[in-house]
Amino acid sequence: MPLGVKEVVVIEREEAKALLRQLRLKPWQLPWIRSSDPLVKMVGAKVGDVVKIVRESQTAGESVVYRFVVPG
Amino acid sequence: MVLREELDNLPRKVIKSIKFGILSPDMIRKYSVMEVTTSEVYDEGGLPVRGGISDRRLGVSEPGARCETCGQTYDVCPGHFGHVELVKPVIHVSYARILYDILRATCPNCGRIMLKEEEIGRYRERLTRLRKGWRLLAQNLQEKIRKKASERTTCPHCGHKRNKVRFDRPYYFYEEIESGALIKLDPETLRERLAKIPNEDLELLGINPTVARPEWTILKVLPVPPPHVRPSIQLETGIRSEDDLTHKLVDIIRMNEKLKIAIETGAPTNVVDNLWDLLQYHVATFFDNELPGIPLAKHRGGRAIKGVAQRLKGKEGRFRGSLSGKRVNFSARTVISPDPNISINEVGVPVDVAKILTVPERVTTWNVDVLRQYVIRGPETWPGANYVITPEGRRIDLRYVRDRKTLSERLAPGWVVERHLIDGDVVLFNRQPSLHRVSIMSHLVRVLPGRTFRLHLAVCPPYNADFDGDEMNLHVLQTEEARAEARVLMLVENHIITPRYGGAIIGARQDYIIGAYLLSQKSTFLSKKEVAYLLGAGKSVEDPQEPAILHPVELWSGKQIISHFLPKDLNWVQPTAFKSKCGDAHNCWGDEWIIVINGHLVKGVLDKKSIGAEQVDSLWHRISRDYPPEEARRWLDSSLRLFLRFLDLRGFTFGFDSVYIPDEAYNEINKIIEESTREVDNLIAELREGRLEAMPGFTVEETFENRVAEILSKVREDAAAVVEKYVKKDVEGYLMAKTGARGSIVNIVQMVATLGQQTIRGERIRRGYRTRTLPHFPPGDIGPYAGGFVRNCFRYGLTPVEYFFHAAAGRDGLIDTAVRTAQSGYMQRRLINALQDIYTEYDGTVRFGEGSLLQLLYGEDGVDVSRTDHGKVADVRLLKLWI
Ligand SMILES: [Mg+2]
Ligand SMILES: [Zn+2]
Ligand SMILES: [Zn+2]
Ligand SMILES: [Zn+2]
Repeated sequence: MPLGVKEVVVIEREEAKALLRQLRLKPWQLPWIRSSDPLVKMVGAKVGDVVKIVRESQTAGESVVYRFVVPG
Repeated sequence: MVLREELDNLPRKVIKSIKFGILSPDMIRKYSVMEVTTSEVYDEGGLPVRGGISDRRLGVSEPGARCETCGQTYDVCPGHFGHVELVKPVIHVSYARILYDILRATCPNCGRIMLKEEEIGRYRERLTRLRKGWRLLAQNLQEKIRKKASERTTCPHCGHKRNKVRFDRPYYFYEEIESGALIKLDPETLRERLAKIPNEDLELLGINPTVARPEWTILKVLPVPPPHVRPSIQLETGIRSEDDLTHKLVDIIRMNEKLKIAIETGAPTNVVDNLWDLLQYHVATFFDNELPGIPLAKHRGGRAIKGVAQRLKGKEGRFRGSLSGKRVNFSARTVISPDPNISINEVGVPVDVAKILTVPERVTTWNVDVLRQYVIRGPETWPGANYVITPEGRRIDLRYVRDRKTLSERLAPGWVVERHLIDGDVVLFNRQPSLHRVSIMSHLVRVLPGRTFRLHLAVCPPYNADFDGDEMNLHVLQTEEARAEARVLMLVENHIITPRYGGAIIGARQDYIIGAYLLSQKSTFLSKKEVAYLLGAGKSVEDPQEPAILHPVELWSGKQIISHFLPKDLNWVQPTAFKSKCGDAHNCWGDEWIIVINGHLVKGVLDKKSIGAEQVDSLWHRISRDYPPEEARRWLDSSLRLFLRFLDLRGFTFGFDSVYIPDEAYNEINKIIEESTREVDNLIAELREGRLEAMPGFTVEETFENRVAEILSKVREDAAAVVEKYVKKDVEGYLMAKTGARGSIVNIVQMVATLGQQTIRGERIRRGYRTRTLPHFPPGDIGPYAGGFVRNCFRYGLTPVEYFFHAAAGRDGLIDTAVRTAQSGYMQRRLINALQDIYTEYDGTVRFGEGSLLQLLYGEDGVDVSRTDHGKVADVRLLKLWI
């Protein structure tokens, strides 16, 4: 696990759908991450997946980011 | 007033998409109302020639005349395009680069893209998939396809072996045949080749053939813009002056005529080609007159002609100069100068300015008497009025009203008076470059004599203003809503705390700090008269507290006067800049700690650390954070005036005698310098004899330079220690440095001991002659003095050589600032353009303009930095942005 990263998981399809509905977003409106990114490879995510990345934060304890896996 | 329901019923059009394409020759002809057939513009009578460039069918630009196409007058008729049929086609310069890409990717023989059928199928399928939601990736793929096709030399469709195409900017194309010779490709040939490319193949290259066929970039027909785009101006002498575009169009038409005659008379090909090339030149410079590699098109006077591109491009161009920003009314600009007597909320406005800028005031039964007086005084005497607007909306210019008394009597509710600017009006004040929000703040007007805007010294930092000739802009707000918003959101007192980190950016500086220090000293005592004077300066109406000394005369301590203005519930303890060994504030008998108990300054001197701006955990930081902005501002206003008035009373000066240290000090300093130079000399010897060992990652020379820099910079440090030891502690320069009012110990060391090493770009000076910096040194001298070490001080004077090095280092600083501002200015522009439509949504997320997600929580922690203490979060729950 890279420094500062606490958790990386691929979100279940249903869970991702609910999240996107709640945020009123189309999948590609999430921040992107390339499928060649080491983090993506580590959890074996495929293009079109949504990954949840939890990182350490000095001010907030931990911060959560959802990213949409794109080709490249 | 529009009712809400009506608002919903307003007819609306929604833009779904915008398509950019290229006009086809047929479209140009279809849009055109006439063909321009002659280069004649006006006949002998001065009337527009029919079929000429100013034909009335294109529209009219002078009042009275009617357009022959739509029958409207010039202010209603939008103008109509015409066209010129070019005898021979020319390339549109702006597309030349794209043409080059297309030519390289396609077969000149059959027009197909240079890819195998199976590749085409694969790419087409991938492209259609990507274009649905991955536009960025689709673009990358197009680029890849283009590269791949350009690499092929034999056409997979017809087997044609292709020659290499060469592009010579701005608009020349050649073909390189096997012998290596270059054959020119004229626009006609290019046009034929481009026309052969099938639509499906163009799509692979990222071109939408329904709106942009590549052969349309070769102009056979040139659109002629209507005169509204290129108005002619009538000079006072009656001579008509035409727009640059008109001149250029005339050039084009004239060349077209010449070319036509040459072809019809059967002139030799090289003559025709020359004229054709000239036509190409004129058409190219009509679009863009800053093309690389070809001469500028010029007027007879030598002034460059403005092409279409020049109208749009750059700072003064249509986009940045006329659409993103433009000139405004109700604004003023003049030099600024300081005024310590006004409030930080105020701005001093010259009477001359106040008589021109106006505020529209509605007449009511409550203000009618005052407004009548304004109208009677008129535009010449301040405070008067410049215009009166009747209930019907008629605007009466008071300059031309003979009997203003009678007019004033007609004033009644429903009328509007545009009165002069008066004290208390809300205005916006601005200094460029407007880099952050505190570059524009609202101030309250104080009309004053003189010709400059007056600004309180404490407000200089947010504007980054000084008074060496700086000018600032002032804008008068014209509506109640705007005034209310400006007052609440933009008033200076609401910007004492910077949004960057939650500390005060406005605070005491320079004279204020030294004044506060002297006033707060234990030895300062003031008579009743002086106290009255000082409390008056602070605009206090309350009685002073009981004097510290009652007999034989009543005397107040300086701290008592300062306490007079402090908030009564303030309690605070902090160290001063004079703190040395004393660790315990409450058991210290000196003035090294500030202690405020219930608004009484019982101990400690004031200095930059306590009342300056941007100081962490300071007295002023607490006052500005813990009290309402208005109260904080009132404290600052009165205390600063008080400090300054005290400094006036006491007097403060700094002269030659003040920079003095005894002979013993000089002995020590000389010893330091001699030791260091000897050390450097030894180092040089080591270097010369090759004994010097390189530090890891450095060459021997670099190692030498580093060591020398280290030794010589230590000289200034050691000298500073000596000066600190011997300098008299009550000398003004030392006090200023110590309290943080101005300057530092380094400045005193430079005045009294030594200037030390001079640097250019952080290195010792080494430029100049071949092996030395100046001819005053032997060749190859790399010693301290040849490298810009100045051993003398300002008090005893520099040698000419030292003076030169000092001046050189000074220039270096100026260049550095100039370069830095240019670079950071451009970066700021790019950042603003990239980030301008980011916003926080009501659900606490941060999003881009079209709604896509950037952060789930602002800054990923939801903290509003402007509510922290210099970035330190005291209690996260209090600071969350939403809730
Ligand atoms: Mg200046
Ligand atoms: Zn018209
Ligand atoms: Zn071919
Ligand atoms: Zn002490």
